[in-house]
Amino acid sequence: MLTADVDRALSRCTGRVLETMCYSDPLPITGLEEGQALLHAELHFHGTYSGVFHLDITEEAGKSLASTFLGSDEDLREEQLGSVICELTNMICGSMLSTLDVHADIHLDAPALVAEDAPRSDEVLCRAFEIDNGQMAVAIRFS
Amino acid sequence: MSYRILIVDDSPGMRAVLRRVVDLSGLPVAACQTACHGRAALAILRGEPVDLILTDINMPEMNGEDFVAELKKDPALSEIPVLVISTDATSNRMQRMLELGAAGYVIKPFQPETLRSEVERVLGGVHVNG
Repeated sequence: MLTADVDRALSRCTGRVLETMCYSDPLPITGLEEGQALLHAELHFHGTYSGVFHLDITEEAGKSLASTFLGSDEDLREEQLGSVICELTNMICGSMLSTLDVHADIHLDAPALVAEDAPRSDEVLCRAFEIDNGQMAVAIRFS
Repeated sequence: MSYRILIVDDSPGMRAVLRRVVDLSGLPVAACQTACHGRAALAILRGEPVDLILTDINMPEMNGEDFVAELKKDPALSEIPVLVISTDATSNRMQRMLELGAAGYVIKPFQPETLRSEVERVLGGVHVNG
């Protein structure tokens, strides 16, 4: 699989999910600013391709996306916020893998909130975005 | 005439979104229940009548593929139309779900209008008494 294809799919699928489900238009940036409070989610996938997908998002941006996703103006409970962040992780990852290879067999584990942000290395492809009320980054590593 | 709908998804956020689309659809809905996996959905279906099932695929306990297969094996439940709602847009998966008997397949992310029209299309083939 070509890195350029993965890179393009990472950006395109993130944009499509956020635009469709949260009416948000993410703008690409070089990386997340240091020192921000972040929520982290990760999802392991198996099948034709195996690896792990990460989503890091600033708390305020996460709350903003979650409110729009749920169509609710009320204060979000912590579990609602976590559920939406996990679902967005699931949608972006699933959409991306399907886009990369429509003939693949893919199994996605349940996404989960984790304590650590996405690892940074040459094997991890990462893209960051400015979104409503903050920033987010998505990253994928194939094993 | 009003419909009884069952939403099967392990994500509380997604269940809330699907429920909102159903609520805002303008369709006459008598009841909209939810289950977090296929096994819980089967327990509901064996106790109450349902006119339409919206189900995810990747779920714990019993995934959507096993759930639809179980459903179609049960003569009392096999005629209930199932609309699959999944991020998995691979051709093999979609073909497998349709071969198992799903009436439709909506890929996430989706526009609410897309889901609503699919629900209407599938319910168009359902005859509900009462």
